[in-house]
Order: sequence, then structure tokens, then C-alpha cells
Amino acid sequence: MRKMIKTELRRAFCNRTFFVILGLGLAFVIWHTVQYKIPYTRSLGVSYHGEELYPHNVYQECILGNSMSVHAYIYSMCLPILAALPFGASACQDRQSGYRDQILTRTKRSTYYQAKWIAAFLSGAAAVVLPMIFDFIVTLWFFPTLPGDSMSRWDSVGIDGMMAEIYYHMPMVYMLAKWMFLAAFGGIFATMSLTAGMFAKNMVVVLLTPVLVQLLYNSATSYLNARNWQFMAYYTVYQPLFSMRLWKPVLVGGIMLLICLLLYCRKASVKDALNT
Amino acid sequence: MYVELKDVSKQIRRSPILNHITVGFEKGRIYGLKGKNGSGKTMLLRMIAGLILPSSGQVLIDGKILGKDMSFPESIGILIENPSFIGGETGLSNLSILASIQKKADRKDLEETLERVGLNPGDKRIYRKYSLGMKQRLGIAAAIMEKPDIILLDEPINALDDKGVEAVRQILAEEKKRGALIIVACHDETELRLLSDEIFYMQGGEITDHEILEKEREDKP
Repeated sequence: MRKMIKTELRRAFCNRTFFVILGLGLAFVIWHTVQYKIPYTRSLGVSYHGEELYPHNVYQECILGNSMSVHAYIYSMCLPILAALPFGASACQDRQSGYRDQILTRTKRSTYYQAKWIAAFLSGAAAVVLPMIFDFIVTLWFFPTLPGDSMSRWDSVGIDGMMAEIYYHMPMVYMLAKWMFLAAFGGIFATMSLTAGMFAKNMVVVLLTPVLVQLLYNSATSYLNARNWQFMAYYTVYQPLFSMRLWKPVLVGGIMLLICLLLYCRKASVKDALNT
Repeated sequence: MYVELKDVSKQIRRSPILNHITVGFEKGRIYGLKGKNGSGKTMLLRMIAGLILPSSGQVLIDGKILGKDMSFPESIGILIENPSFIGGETGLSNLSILASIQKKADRKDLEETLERVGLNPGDKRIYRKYSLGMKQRLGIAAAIMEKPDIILLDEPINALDDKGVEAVRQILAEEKKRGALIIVACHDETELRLLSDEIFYMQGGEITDHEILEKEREDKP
């Protein structure tokens, strides 16, 4: 089992697509830095309508922490495809190329599919979270590591926002939690694509499945006037506008993961290769 | 090692792919499958490999029912349809990855196998850069590297030059001598007659004829 996981992880992480996705993520961070961070540092320490501004901190000026920037919006919208691209289509590719048959005749069916699931989840998580960690490091060059100011109306996280207590007391722990959420949803989207690959033959359909799910889900929540349930509210900070609780992303993520896992296991347990 | 198919049929969306096939294969012999496209050769190979299950009937490997007593034959090497490997790895690395699953072959075995099929173990080119013939050779290497009891080869001489075809003939003879049960599906009847001890002719998912060639082979210079 360990060997199989190692093999699948190597396939997931040491492939061209994974590095291209990381490159795109880094380019995105540089774009945000040039267009937003650098110009904004010039306004540090100035007053606004006579009111002294509390200096902005690194936690609210990184892409994930800034709800007002278009970059956060674009990144959250692209997140499903970024997560799916490195290894999401591998189940479909392995099946169609015949590589799966090579593996299955050498190991247990469950070992192969478990290893694939783990590799897809981790690669999806890493593909979306690594650029954001890089972004945080870059943001450290421009903004101080000051804790948030709960009295400031400029701070991204409202006092009744998700994990607000952690944000104001231990902002670094808050960032870690934010990355974990991002990684979890990246992993979920990658495994969603992997699951789609167990059913569909078309690679484009397989890769776009998580994008479509996000679009449909966001449209539905907008229609129902429940925007604090939207995925991007979990990755980025939309707290002042949409105050929400920790259980919401946990519930939504958990349900999505469970559905994908059930469908995946059901298909993976089918012994006849013609039906898988 | 004895592979037995007992009244095996396979239907896909109600259309019959294999039809009431009863046949036995024993170790130390090379069996050829001859038939037109869609005659069921590849399906028969996939069924023996455990990759598809019969709609009715049984596939037995040494008396054990495939899909019930075991998911796949314990010792099998396959090359069915196109060879497929990880594009970004070298030939040796690809074989190492596959061999690491069962740990039946060490690095020396893999290097020897690559040489047997006419590939250079030290070749640093990745699989994606391989020619069709090289890919085919690597596919054959993957099928034989662990010295399996059953070897299933679907069109093994596809894309191979004369030297490659000669290498396949020699490999099959050596594997037969080792005691492996070998089944080869091939369009080329001349080549199949050279390779096989027995030929099964297939048409419409049925075995329509059977020919034993051993004497003919011995007669050849």
C-alpha cells in the first residue's frame, strides 16, 4: 500500500501540469503584488478624513485576506480547475490508456484506488495552497505582522466573523486555518474530478466537473440569497459582508467529500473493467 | 498451471461478445488466437486476465474461479491493446515502478529484460519520446519481467521491425521453455503459425476451429 501511494504521489507531484499550475499561481501572486501590494504600501500611515489609519497588516493584505481585491475573486473562481488539473483526470487517463490494467494485475484493486484518491487529494490541495503561502511570504516584505484591530472598520474580519477570536489573538494560527480550508477544498475539487473520471470518458468533462459544480452551487446560493454559503466565502475573507460560522464550510466540504467518496468507491468496487 | 474456460459467454448491452466458449490452456505451450477484428480475441484475453468477468460460465485458474476465489491470476503478465506507461519516466524507471508493486523482479532482472527485448537499459529518454516500436518492446518487457506463469500478448509484433519480431520469437520460445503458459492474439497468420503450438480460430465471439501445429513446427528448418 505504502509503495503504491508513493508511486501515485510521484505521478501526481512530478508531472509537468503540476509545475505549470504552480507557475501560474506564482504569476498570479506577482500580478497581485505589482498591481495591489506595492501601490498600497505608499498609503501606509496616512489619514483618511482626519482619522488616523491603523496600519494594514500582512494577514489582511495577502490575497486570501483581502475581500475587496479582484484577485481573490479570480483565484477563488479558478480554484476548482487549478486543483483538478494536476491529477484529477488520472483515473480516466489510466483507464483509457490501459495503464490501470497493468497495475490491477499486480496489486489489489482497493490499494490502487485508495492510493489514487490520496494522491489526487494531496496534489489538488498543494496546487492551490502553495501559491497562497508564497503570496503570504511576499506580503511579509511589504506589510507588518501586526494583529488585527477589532475597532477598525477597515479590518477584513468582523468581530462576529468566522474564527474572529483566533484572528485577533493568534493571527498566524488564523492564517494556518485559512490555508487548511483552502487545501481541503482544493483536495475536494481534485477528488471530485477524479470521481468524474470514473464515469466520464471525455477529459474536458472530467476536468470541468468541479468548475461546473462550483458555478451551479454559487448560482443556487445567490438565487436563494444565501451568499455566505458560497465556496469563495470559505477560501477568502468575506466576513464584513457575510458573517458566517465555522460549521458551514465544514458541513458543505464534508458533504461534498462524502458524495464524491461514495460514488468513487461504488465505481472502484466494480470488478468488470468494461463497466468502470 | 492450467487455465480453463467453461461455457463462457459475455454480453455487452445485450450483444454477444463471447459465445459459449469452452477451452483449456496448459503450461509450457504457446497458444495462438486468430480472428478478424471484433471476433473476440482481445475480450478473451481480458477475461483470462480477470479484467472483465463473464456474463455466464466460469474462468478457472488451477481450479480457482476467477472473480470469485481470486480477483486476478496470481502470476500474470499482459500486453493487451496498446502498451501504456508513465510518459515522463524512462523505460527502466517505468518497469521499476511496476516491479516495485510485487517485488518479484530486481533491478538486474529488469535490465536483463530490457536487453532481451532490444532496449538499452541505460537509455535516458523518457517514454513519451519513444518510437512506436520501442513502446511495444517496453510493453513486452513489462509482460515478461516478473517471469509470470501466464503471459497474454495481444498483437505483440505490432510496430516491430524484423529484428524486433525475431526478438519476440526468441523470447516466447524461452518463456515456453521456462514453463509459462502463453496466449498470443495476432492478425498475421504466418507469424502466428511460427510462434504457436496451437491455434484457435475465432469468429463472432466463438471458437470455430482448432489446429495443433507442433509437428509442423518441428518440420521447419
